[in-house]
Amino acid sequence: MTVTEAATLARGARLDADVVVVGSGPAGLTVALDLAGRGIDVLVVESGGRGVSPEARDLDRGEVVGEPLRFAEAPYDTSSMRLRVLGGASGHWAGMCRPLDDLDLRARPWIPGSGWPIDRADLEPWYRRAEATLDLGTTGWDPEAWYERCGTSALLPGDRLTTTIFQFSPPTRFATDFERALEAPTGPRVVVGATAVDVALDASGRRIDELTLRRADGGTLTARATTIVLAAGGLEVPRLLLAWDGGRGVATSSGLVGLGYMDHPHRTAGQVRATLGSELPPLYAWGDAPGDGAPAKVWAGWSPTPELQEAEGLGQAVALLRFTDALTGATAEPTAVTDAMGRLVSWTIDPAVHRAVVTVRAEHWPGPGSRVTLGTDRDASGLPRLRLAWRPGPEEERTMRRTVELLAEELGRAGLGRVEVDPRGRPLAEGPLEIGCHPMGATRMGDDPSASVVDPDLRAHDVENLYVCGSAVFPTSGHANPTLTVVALAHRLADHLAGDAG
Amino acid sequence: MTRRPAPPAPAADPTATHGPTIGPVLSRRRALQLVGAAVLGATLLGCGGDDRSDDDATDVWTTVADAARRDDPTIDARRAEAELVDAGLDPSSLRRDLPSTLRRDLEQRIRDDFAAGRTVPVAGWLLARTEVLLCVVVAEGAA
Repeated sequence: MTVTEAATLARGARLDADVVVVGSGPAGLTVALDLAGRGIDVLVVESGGRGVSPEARDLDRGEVVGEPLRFAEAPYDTSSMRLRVLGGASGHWAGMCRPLDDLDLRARPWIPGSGWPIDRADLEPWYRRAEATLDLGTTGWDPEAWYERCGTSALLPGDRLTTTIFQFSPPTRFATDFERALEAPTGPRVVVGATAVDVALDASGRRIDELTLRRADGGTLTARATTIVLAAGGLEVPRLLLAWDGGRGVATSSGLVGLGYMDHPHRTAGQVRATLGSELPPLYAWGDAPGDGAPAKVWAGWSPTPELQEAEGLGQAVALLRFTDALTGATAEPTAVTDAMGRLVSWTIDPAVHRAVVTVRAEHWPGPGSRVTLGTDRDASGLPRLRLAWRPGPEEERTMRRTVELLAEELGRAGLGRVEVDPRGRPLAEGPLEIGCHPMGATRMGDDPSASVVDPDLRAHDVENLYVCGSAVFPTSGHANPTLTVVALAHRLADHLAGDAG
Repeated sequence: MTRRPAPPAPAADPTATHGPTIGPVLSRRRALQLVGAAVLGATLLGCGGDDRSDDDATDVWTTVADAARRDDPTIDARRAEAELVDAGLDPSSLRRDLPSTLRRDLEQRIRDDFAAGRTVPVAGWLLARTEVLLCVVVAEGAA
């Protein structure tokens, strides 16, 4: 319908709707647009404004008590991980997409806490819708389809590694790409500059009666709805649940809100010297996909097969090559050995000797070591600042190193190249550890109310009119970027809520 | 191009203890000296072609061998050669079928090493054990 600045509304104004969605990122706007398109009265409340502001960004500042956060070879903080603005994190999203694998949703005995309460096949229809929402191509995720499209074949056939396809959204910027839908008479109402700082529960304690929204100038509004969808992002969702109800917390009876936090650990291994043909193989270097079919950007890497993961007790992981003639960073500094490796390959008849670096990303095993809690300081809205402990463990390190080692072995087996597994001889696990800016898992989904926060329909076990949508509900992380799954779950939730409404 | 100073000549061929079953040791070593760089250059990494100088090649083998010995001081040319012989590498083939047979043989051995996980970390690079041992043997012979 319209996007309204909270500051233009009268102090104390009460907003009513069938559904209130807290957060306007990919999850929130997907749910809101789907429901509004079915004639349901939806109100979206967004803490940020139409544009990024330092004041809004400050609300995301928090304390990091675990592993220091690094991203893109630089120190990072919690306020950089989020984007408190209309459209949410889609405003700085790189667009990298991949659905979760069958294995990701299965219980794996060697990974404590693994297993989703839904099957991967259950998500399939919503993945198709999410692909359309995110403007992905239609070639799909089966490597064979991409080999056919690109006129190529598996670079490393065998039973230890599988080709893993990533596609890139343009990327979809929800605030601008869906602006027309948001402004349409049938669109949801959106109020920006309104932070959901608290809720009031009814006498039973099992329903949210009212949301308290705070403007930047301190003025408050209230919102009431039959259904509340909390879609504020993987860090903010647990923070709000812990802080709401006057600090007593909401949906916290399991004691699990904030626990099991996950973000994909990344490491940059060393360099690769490879002879992969006169041109870069079309799938394995990030770029436009050749061949017939809808335009698409694609990037393929390699993951240990499910069988090998089970045999060796590994988590999910993917190794990707970044090809460049102008390698940067510490791993690009020449040494006698890297120079020797380069000259070994430069002696080929084919002058196209590729230099690359290997980036490896692993599934973050769910566990109590990583969590979101509340700090003692408060932000300008009065909410306690978040405190983040992110601590990947030895299993993730073992998985990452083994994945790079497998890539080295398979490239060598194929006679294609050599890999510097430990950069400059320094063990891979001693190098800089980076996040993926993929906050997940701190309000996990499950059947058992004592072991999860939301049920398979994403409804809070403790609060019958509260739903959580976003990566916070992931019980496990896989290695895939979460946004495609987030949007798929949002479409699924919208269908569920529309069914309830009908 | 950096070069190691040549070590003093050994009083006697240290590999002579390997016995006669694999042919004259001196010939084997000489053959490796003569062809090792060229063949390895074409074999390592599954590459073809060898239009570079033996000096360049020697420098590379030396670099790899030095790095390997830094990571594992127990690797030396004698043990490396013995291990290659034990693994069935017949250096006498150097005299008979150069270079195609040796190239194919080495390339296959190297690929098999990777497939079987017979790898050696060298300054962080994961190399096939066969190629590391050959680098050590050839570098010593060329020094």
